[in-house]
Amino acid sequence: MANAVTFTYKSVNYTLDFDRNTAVLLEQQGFKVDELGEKPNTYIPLLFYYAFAKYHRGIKRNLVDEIYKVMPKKSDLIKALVELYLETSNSLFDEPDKGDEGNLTWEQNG
Amino acid sequence: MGAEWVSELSTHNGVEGQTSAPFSYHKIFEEQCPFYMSIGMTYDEFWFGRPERARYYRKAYELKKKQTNEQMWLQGMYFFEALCDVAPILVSFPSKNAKIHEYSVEPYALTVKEQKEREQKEMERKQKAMMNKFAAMSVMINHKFKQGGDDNG
Repeated sequence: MANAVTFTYKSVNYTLDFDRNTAVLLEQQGFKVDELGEKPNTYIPLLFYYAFAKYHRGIKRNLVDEIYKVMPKKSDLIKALVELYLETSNSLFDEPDKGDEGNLTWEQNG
Repeated sequence: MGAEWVSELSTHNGVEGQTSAPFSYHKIFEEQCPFYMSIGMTYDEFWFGRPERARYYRKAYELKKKQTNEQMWLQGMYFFEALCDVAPILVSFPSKNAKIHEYSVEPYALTVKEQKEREQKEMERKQKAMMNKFAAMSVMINHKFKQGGDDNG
């Protein structure tokens, strides 16, 4: 379960999150999560911008770009936003039962 | 812009350059929304609420289904007993081969998961019974040896 991303920029609190409505809005802009690696210059700014849509609708694109420029740990941030985006669909389906994975395991390196 | 992580993501399908069938969030949400509304989630919660709420609604729905199944099983039990109670006056001369089928000892398993849990439980019960049997046997054998030893000594 992913938690929303929160931060303060110039004394304003911001919360980045996705609900199903904003996930669809992002998709309607042509965003495809499985092509994020192929077109990072297009999709990452789009993902970041639409992460504001739930709590800060109408925020200026320039301000979002400005915030993105100064954001630390961008790689982790994008990873967190993708998790929030994926959660909108993953939460609709059950995890496979134990024994249904064919003894498949995975781990995270790093 | 998160290039390291992003480059890993691009090959998440296993075969580079091969993409899966078009996956539309919009289509999936449109399809799933009526189901979630049927189990008590509101339209606004589904579209504008925290996505993980769907998990709780689904879990609650599973519990409710299980409770209903148990209630129906119990009701069936009362009905079965009532039938058994009046059966003697309904059939004056029952056939010699007539048998009463026992009522199910527990509600039917509604899901594969539940079925597997029951199988596991049954296997554990059998193993435990076998272990108890072996333990009783070993006590008996020890007792016999002890008796034999006493007789010899």
